[in-house]
Amino acid sequence: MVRKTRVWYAMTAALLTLALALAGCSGNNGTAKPSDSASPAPSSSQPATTGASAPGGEPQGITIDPNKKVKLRYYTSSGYDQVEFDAAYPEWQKLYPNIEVELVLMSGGEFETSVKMASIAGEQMDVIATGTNTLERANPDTLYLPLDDLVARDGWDLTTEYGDYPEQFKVNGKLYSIPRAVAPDGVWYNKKYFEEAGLPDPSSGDWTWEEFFQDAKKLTKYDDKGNITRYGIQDWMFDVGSLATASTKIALYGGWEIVNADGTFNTDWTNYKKAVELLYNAVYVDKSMAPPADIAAKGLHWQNDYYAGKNAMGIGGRNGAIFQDLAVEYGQLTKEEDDAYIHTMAPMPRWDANAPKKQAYEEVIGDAISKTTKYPEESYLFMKWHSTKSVEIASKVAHRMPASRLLDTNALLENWRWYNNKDGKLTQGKQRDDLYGRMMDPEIKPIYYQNSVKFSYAAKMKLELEKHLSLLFASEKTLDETIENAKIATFKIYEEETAK
Amino acid sequence: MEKTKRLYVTRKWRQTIDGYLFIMPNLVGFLVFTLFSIGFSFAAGFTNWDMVTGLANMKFNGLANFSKMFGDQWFIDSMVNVLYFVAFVPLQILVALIVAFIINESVFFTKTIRTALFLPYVTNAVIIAIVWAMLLNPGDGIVNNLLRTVGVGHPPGWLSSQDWVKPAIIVMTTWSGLGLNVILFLSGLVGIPKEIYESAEIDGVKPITKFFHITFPLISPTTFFILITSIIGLFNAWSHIQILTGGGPGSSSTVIGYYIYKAAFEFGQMGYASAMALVLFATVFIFTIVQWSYQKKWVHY
Repeated sequence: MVRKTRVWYAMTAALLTLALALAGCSGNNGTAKPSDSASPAPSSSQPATTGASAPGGEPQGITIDPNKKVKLRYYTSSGYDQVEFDAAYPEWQKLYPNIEVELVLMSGGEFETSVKMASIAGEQMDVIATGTNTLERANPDTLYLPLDDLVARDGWDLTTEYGDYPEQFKVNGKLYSIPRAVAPDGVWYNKKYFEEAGLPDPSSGDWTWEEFFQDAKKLTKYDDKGNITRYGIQDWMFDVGSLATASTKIALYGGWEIVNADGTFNTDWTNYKKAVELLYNAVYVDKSMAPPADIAAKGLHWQNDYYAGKNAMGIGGRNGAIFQDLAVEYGQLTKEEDDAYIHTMAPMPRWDANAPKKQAYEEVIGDAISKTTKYPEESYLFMKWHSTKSVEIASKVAHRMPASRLLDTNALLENWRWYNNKDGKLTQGKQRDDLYGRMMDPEIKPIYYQNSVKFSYAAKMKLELEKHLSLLFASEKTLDETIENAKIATFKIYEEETAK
Repeated sequence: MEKTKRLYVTRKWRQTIDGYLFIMPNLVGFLVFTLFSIGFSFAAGFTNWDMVTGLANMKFNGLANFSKMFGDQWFIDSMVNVLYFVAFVPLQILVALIVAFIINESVFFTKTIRTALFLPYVTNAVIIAIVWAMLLNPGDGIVNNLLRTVGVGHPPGWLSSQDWVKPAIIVMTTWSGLGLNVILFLSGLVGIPKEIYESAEIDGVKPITKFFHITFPLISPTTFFILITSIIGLFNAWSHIQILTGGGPGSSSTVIGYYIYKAAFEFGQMGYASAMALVLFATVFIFTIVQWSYQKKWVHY
């Protein structure tokens, strides 16, 4: 009896141990195993391509089995993508009834880290939302599938479709994402405040960055106790985690990038130091701009505060024009101020008096295919449709400036007048010819990072830059110290990475 | 005799095997998920591993991570910030002890007060951080609005101020950790025999003397436990920092746990983060050893 009991105990313990070991070593809790070789291979099934007509073009070399039921997962951090997806998805289902797409919304500030960890854990992801500043450039192959092969097989002319935008998503010579929409920078300004301060209207775009920040200083207001009641300027990119982008963006107008065209380290930081100095003086000398810590602690938002009169100007997306009706609907902007047309846009400042005017940095958002996808062809088809037709289909409820040049601009301009009101009813908004005209001004030339986006180590250098800038903008270091230390630290990274 | 001895050895051996079989599930779990992870992290601390490029790209780099650490302003600031918070642990313990003492002496609503005090401890740390961020909003927060009402023209910037961010975090962590410490002290206070206090009263001992010569020594084991766990907890906790301040302004509220997370997952420097984790482990170990050594002088069992 004692022996039987002992044997029973031993077997129970062994079973428990085995169960524990299996649970710990198991894969994805029921989700599909990742594809180890996610490189696309042509399907041997009968071709059943039902591609969307131009824009996007007919998929030529991409074949899928129309009878094979596939479920894709599209990862994004934007709730607005959900709005667009919900509006356009029925059309997708008509085109590809066998391909179901689930949108996985991962909101919050840690989307890029979460996606990285999910990929390392082998979670099945198919399409991932990306952007100029959010694309994983340090190690893109660890997260995304290079798209060059798929695009070549498809015969898709990206230049005709998107112009230069795809260059923003090329790293080390490979394409990792397809552009979908753009957010070009512009200066939102309150005409009434400019008139009160006796400042010239900046619509011509003649102003330089120095003049811009001088205007910001004059537009800053204080109460009797010396507290700031209105900042001169707020930049949508200027908060913790984006200081490097905010400063390198200004320096870009002076032609500065952290690496040269051939990928070598840029040893001349004169223009970059000037850009940082402009921002630093705005925050700590002129006090025309809120410090990053205040932005975080007070929950400041450039656009909400701009409409509320807490900033006289805001560097934000020109595409904000297509949200003006929503701003009125949801009370950010009063109807009286909207009717008075005091909120409008000016072109971005130029580097100096000799630099060309009417240039603007453009942020591009796009979609990439995850390297853990089991369905690269299906993912490609969804990504292609999502980056082109979906934007147009959903344009009445989800207003985006498309990256594609082949969409019907007139239809978009008309659709952007529509919006869902608070009751969820589709409502026609105001005619905003002047504002839309400024938004789509053909004279404004887009500028982008040409060099630093191409080299993966530049992304690591930018992260290091962010660390040093956060100390400067917390007044823990001086400007000269920061530039000196940042230059040394980023050069060390450049040396280590290029030596590999 | 020989046969008895052999039987005894066999039985003892069987008992040993039985014992190990019983603890096998826990032992395997510990070996696989704890010891292996610690060992791997220890090894990774001497490499340049970034985690995303796989183990094949892991290269041994000697003590490079450690030498980088001691020249890294962020690492130094993180450790200094943690030590700043550790310095306030005795004050937090004293507050908990006073509150526990008051509750112990009270007659009315003790259960309600205990429950109310313990609620923050069982509330999600993220929620607590979000609520405190709203309270301490330098512009519209209740705290600054109250201060302005009583005539403070320029109230502190709290989470946006380098000078006030750490005191603000200390107030928040004191409030959220008070409940557990009070409960622990109450259990210690309840265990003190009443006869000792009665004898002291008969001898005419003053209340303050009773506290320092009776109460404090007899609850010293509880105090020691709270001291050790509070300090270890402080070294490890960082989720509230991530929500409240993101480590800012600058590096003024970054703690070592948060910096390790950022280095590992945001900057892609898993090897460096592992090295910092090793240093953190050594620091906590030294702190604990020192406390254990000194406890003989003031802890009475």
